[in-house]
Amino acid sequence: MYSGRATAVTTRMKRVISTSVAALLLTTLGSACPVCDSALGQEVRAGIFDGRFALTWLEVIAPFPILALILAAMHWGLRD
Amino acid sequence: MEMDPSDAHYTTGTTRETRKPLIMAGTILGIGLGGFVDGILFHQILQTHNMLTARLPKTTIPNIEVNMFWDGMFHAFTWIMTAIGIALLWRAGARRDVPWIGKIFVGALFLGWGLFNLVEGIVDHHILNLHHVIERYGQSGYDIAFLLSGVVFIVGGILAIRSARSQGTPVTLR
Repeated sequence: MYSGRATAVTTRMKRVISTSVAALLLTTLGSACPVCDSALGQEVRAGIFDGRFALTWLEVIAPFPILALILAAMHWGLRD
Repeated sequence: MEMDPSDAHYTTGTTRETRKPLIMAGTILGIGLGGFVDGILFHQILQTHNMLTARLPKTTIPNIEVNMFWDGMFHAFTWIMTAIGIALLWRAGARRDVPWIGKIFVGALFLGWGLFNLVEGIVDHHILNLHHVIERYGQSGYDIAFLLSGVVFIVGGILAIRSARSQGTPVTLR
């Protein structure tokens, strides 16, 4: 059971969250996101999924498999 | 406290310590945090480069947004490294045979940060040419300085870890 005070706080929090979400969705920058349907959003989406997506992805994450190999070498090679 | 007689620490009164779990946790955490330093400092605060600025200069809004997407992809992986580091640190902290020595942990953090700078610098700045430290200068002395910072952090980290080892700090039971 919630007390009256707790219910009031919950209602206030709901208002703050819903206002924040609405403000976020209504901003111009929000409409420029790559998943939005604006002209800019479509342009950004085309820039990301440009036919080289998989290759670019591999290039962007390339340092991490190398670091993982170094960590594996450390794990197996490190003496206590 | 009730002790398990099968526990080697209890039956012998001594313990064989292992520092590897703390070093590995610190190194992985250092890689993750080093990645975040790069992303937060160079990509966001100073804005000297983004992930693909050597190919997609930040001259148009779509280019900026595409770069932001790939920055996010890169940060997702640094986040994964950080999360793994925290999990390993948590596990190491629960082990009684792992000495809790700050110098080893900080040394490992620097080792990881240095590894990140060195590998990311070689791969992204020099081999793949995805971006450079100061993009408007292209490949420059700043890229070399970034690599050197990696070497300095690695050497400093290893020295810190080794000096803590040589001190022979006794194991403290937690």
